[in-house]
Amino acid sequence: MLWTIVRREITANILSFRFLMGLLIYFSLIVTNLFVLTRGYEDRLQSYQTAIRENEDEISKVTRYSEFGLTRRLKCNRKPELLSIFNEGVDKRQGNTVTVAHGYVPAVAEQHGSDNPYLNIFSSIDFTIICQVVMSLLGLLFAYDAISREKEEGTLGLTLSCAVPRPMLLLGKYIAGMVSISLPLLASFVAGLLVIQFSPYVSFSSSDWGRILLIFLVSTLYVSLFFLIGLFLSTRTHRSSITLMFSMCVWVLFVLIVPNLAVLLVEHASPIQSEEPYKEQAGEQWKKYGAEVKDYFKKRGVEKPLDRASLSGSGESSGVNDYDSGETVSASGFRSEEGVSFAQESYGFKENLRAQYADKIWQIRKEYLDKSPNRQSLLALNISRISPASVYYNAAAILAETDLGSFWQFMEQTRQYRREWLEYLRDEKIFSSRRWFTTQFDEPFDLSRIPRFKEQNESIGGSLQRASLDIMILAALNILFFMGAFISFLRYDVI
Amino acid sequence: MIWHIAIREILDNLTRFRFVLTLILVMALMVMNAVIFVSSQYPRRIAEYSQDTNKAVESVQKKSSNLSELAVKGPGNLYKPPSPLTFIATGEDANLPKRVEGASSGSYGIGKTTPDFKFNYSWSANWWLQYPQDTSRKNDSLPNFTELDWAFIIGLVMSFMAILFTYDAISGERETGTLSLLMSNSVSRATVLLGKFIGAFLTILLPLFIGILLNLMIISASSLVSLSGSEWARVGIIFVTSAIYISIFLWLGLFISSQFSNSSSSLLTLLLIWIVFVVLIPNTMGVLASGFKQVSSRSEISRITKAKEEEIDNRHKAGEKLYRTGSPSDKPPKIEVIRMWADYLNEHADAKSSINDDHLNKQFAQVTFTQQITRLSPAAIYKYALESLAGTGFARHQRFIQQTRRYRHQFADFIRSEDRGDNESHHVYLVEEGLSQKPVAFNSIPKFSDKLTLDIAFKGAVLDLTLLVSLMLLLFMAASLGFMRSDIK
Repeated sequence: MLWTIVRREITANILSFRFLMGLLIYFSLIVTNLFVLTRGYEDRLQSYQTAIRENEDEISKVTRYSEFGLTRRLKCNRKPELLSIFNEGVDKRQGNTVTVAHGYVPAVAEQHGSDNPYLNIFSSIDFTIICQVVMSLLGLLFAYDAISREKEEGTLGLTLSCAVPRPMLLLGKYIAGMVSISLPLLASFVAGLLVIQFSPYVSFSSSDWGRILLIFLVSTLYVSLFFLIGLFLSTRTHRSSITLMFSMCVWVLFVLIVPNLAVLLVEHASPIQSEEPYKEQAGEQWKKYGAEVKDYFKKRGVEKPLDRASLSGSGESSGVNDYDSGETVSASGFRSEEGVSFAQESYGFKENLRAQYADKIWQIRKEYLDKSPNRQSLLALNISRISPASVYYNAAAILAETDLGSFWQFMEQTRQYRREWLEYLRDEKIFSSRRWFTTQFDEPFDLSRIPRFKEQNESIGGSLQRASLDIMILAALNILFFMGAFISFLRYDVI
Repeated sequence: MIWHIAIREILDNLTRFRFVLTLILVMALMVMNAVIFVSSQYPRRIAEYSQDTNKAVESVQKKSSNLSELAVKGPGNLYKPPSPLTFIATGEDANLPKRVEGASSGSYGIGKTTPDFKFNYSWSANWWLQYPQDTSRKNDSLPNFTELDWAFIIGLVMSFMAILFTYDAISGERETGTLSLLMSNSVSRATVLLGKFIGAFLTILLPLFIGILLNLMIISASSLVSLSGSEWARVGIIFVTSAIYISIFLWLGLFISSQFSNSSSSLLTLLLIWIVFVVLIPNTMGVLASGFKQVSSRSEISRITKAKEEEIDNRHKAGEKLYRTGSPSDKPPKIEVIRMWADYLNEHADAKSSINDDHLNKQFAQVTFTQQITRLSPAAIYKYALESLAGTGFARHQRFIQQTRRYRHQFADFIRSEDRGDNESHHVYLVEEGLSQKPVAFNSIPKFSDKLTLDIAFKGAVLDLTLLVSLMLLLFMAASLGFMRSDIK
């Protein structure tokens, strides 16, 4: 019996004008969008590869290790996420290149290869936003008249006069509606995937396929929610035109307004604190560092480490900037062996101390970040969860690894890389070797052994775990509205 | 007769749910917009701006103790004043730089001792205009969002409502059979159509009018924001523009409605058009356009600059001629050395400046090109018109840059004329030793200002306004013809 209803509904849906329209909208939007975003991805991939090359170039130009301290610092580049084709998330706005040094713990990323930052004034949309906006609308449009229209036309009473239980009719309408919405989505999704596959830069790994499947499933869950909302509204009214207006109201409110409003309100109700006090604290620490270094040399009767050692052509460039401190030294010839070993010893002391202070300063900066911008972002994220559209976007972003959490993981990895680099410097005793400040050394100068940054992607299980809250919210809302529609339909006056 | 139909339509619309919906929505959004603007957005921006400009003034004051120092180090930071009409169109101002820097980019020193000569000089590079990407955005990690300004409320929400008001105007009457009944009276089709338009137009304008009134009441009640006469005039033009924009969607709705015999089909078609033109086109063109007009990357620009600077250095330093004759700081000063160094330093500053300006122009051309493409969408046209009138957005930023470039000449001219007054000066522009060492009266230094007059704002919006009006006329004709030729049953 259920299948008879489903079959009848599907036939009616497929023959309807809205099915044709839905197919047309999906197809044109999704295919063109995925094509455009694939090109965007190719550009970003190229600029990533250039950035990697430039980093290697810079490393190969290094002649003294102290250049890594200031003038030629190591860089960690973040590879553009392949799945950003489906969900751009914060991927584009957050930077993708991070500078690392023993005197600086990275906390922010800069943008490499953005040729025209002024283009940021144009917003862009991705597959997820298309689903967020268009699919929800179509979900409502397929469902709004499911019950109320039949009542208007009088066929509802007719159908129920047969031996059809009401739950079965509702379930049949749900299944049929979902099939007829998902079919065009699936078709255009597959067509879009084909378009992506034409790009020579794209090759999906099996975990990518898993993630794509999950994104598709979450999208279906989202559209199902709006279908159920439409169904529920349809069982609450007796005229389809009123259901339509209610549905549109829900759509405008939850899709267009709430997601924007939540962020806007958080930005204004809980503004960012001033960073100045933290910068001052950091400045104090650097002063303390400077004093300790000065003390060290005073005890030894010199002002600078190279004073005793250098014969000619010594130079120092150093800079302290808020949370950051670094120094590059060069010396070309020496007065005495004794002077050189003094310089080695003193740089060993100085740079190790700098690294320790950098860690302390990171704690200060971390306190600021956790207290202000990061807290604000999390608050905005949580408040925007009032709207299922935001919940859906967030879930898809986590699955595509373009959300804020993934970015924070990347930043954590860069700090891990700094620790590795520091360990390398300490293990090889580089601070206290001649290789630090001069090109005249006895030890071999081997740059290939310098640790390189390798980004580790989150496992699909990890992503799923982080997305579980959002997915559960979507599922719970689905169940809630199904029950709502069910109960309300049981009490519906069919004639 | 038209009024008869219009009044009937108005009465019908007023009792509908969609009217209540629009009224509540627009009122809530407009009030929210005004409250957020008055309570935090604008005060914060103004505070930031005055803090920034105060710092800039202080630094100029410090430099004014010595004309030559001021001449070399430049006017410092030039800030873009925030527009008090930002609540109408934010214009992505948070994503655009808030300042231009006219400062020296570094200090250098050279000491040389050879058997032939001894040379010692330290100097600051001559100032030039730099365009740092320093925006007023505080937190990059916030989720993406659109500001709820008028451009959003009217451009997106009200255009959607306009569709909901008209989708069934004709097709709905066809469905219920009242259309043929109506036409059996002695009314022309044109009268019916116009009557329906006027009815819908007035009923949708009423909530908008109430919303805007509430919005402006809150804003003018605040002591922080005070709108000048020119700004009120601009608000008036913006209201008219909004009315034109809404009528575009009303005519579109009537046109599509006249082509269908079934109201749900006309609704779907309208939603499709709305999504493509209001949501999709303004949002996908940015990525597309960047592929068409290529702009050199940052690293390429720094490579070009480096090469150019090396070329200048090589030319001037060939045979150590820059050092051989002496240093500008030598006592007593040698005028030819000062001239030579002025040439050398000017060339550096000019080279950097022209490469940089050229790069920025190319970036701007790319953005302008993208804007042209997005003008396929009436929502984008409307947004640009509002931005021009409100004095925000990209067009305004471009004007700001032009103003700073004009100010660059003004400032240089001022230094030259001030220097002419000092007899002890060598009158060589621009090296520290070549100019007067006397203090400058701070008040005589020209101040940077970037004021937007009604005239300029209107001129900036003329293109978009014309486009909107032509689009409205086009759709009006389409709707009339479409309705004339359509079957009434």
